[in-house]
Amino acid sequence: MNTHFALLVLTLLAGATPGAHAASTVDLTVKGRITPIACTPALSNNGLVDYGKISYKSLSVDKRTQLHDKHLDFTLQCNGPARFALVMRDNRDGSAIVNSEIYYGLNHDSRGNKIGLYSLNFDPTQTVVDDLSQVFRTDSTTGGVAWSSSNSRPIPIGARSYLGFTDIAGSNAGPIFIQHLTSRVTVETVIAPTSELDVSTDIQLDGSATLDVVYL
Amino acid sequence: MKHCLAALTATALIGLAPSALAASSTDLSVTGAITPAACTPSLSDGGVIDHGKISKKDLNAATYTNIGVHTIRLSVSCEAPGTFALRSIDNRAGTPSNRDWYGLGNTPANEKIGFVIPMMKGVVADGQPARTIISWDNGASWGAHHHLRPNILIAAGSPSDTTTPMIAQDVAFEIDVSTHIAATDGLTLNDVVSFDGSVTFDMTYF
Repeated sequence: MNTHFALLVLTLLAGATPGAHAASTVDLTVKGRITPIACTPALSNNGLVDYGKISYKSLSVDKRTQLHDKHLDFTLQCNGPARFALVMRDNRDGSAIVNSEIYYGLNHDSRGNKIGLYSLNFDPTQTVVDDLSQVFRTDSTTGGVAWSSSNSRPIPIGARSYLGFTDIAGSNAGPIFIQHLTSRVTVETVIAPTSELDVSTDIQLDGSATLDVVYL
Repeated sequence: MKHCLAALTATALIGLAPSALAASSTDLSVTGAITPAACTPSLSDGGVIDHGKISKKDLNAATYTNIGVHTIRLSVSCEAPGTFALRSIDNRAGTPSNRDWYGLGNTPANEKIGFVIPMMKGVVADGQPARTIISWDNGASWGAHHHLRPNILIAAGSPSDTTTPMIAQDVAFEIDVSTHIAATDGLTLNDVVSFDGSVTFDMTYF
């Protein structure tokens, strides 16, 4: 499926004879590609991880407390082989207690304190791609220009770095074409020290993120 | 460079037309609540039931043997009144010789040694008699019941309403624990075999 179409080419010219007015013209190009490929990502349990009610007494007063890991099943089904990467946007941006693209916020308590953070971790050894016997992950901090050496270590998904998958270990070539992917993903959640929270009333954990497929 | 521009414009398109990319996205929600409720569960006798040494000769060969009933008290003490329940987790899951109940572990030859049946004889909430209630569905629905089973929730209900846990600060369950050893025909007992059932009670708040 290498068929791509020019989406739109819009050129603004500030004169009829650009050559003669080179110093006073500037070109704007808006372009993109529309692909007939469509991939549908999904998370089990409608993407809901619910920790229920946690007693403040079971949380550390002066240190961060990591809650039990929770697992979801991620599936990605494409209508044909697709070269893609995954990123995840934080809909509670700025509320994570550690400022990093891999940490997502749980929103704020009633006094505006940051409640904690969570990460969503992909483990290549828990990932099945088409009929491949083994899967490796690779990531790109440059929007898909350069890719890290692929390996099988777990990685938390980032808000900016692209996460892709390949069947070759130690490859810098980036993701391969994939039609169907399943992965058991792990949510790791950390709560702020309760001394930094208003625990006089219920505090709602309210994390929300959107996992996006980026077509390469 | 061409690749770089393509990637950048793709990102711009995500920002400009999120609805068009809706099908290529899925949402993750992380929810829960931190509650000021704080309850501490405890068990009488340090939570230990010791049957000592039992002779193989005193056990049935062809059917299970009830080797005794012990009454334990499961108490919950809270800092303030609230609604709560306890979940029992069988730390020997997969080993009960009767799968409905709690396990006692396996013999060295990997045979299921037996099972444990806990039955709630009664419950007292803030000094008043109450009803024992259970939930199979994580607290969505409740009903009066006496038996404890792995992973269900147990709570105190008021005598007039057993459809929901009652508000209470101090609750004590009296539980009869009967221990059963599987038919010895199916057990390799040439040497002393230890059994060690283990159940964890975990507080849940509503």
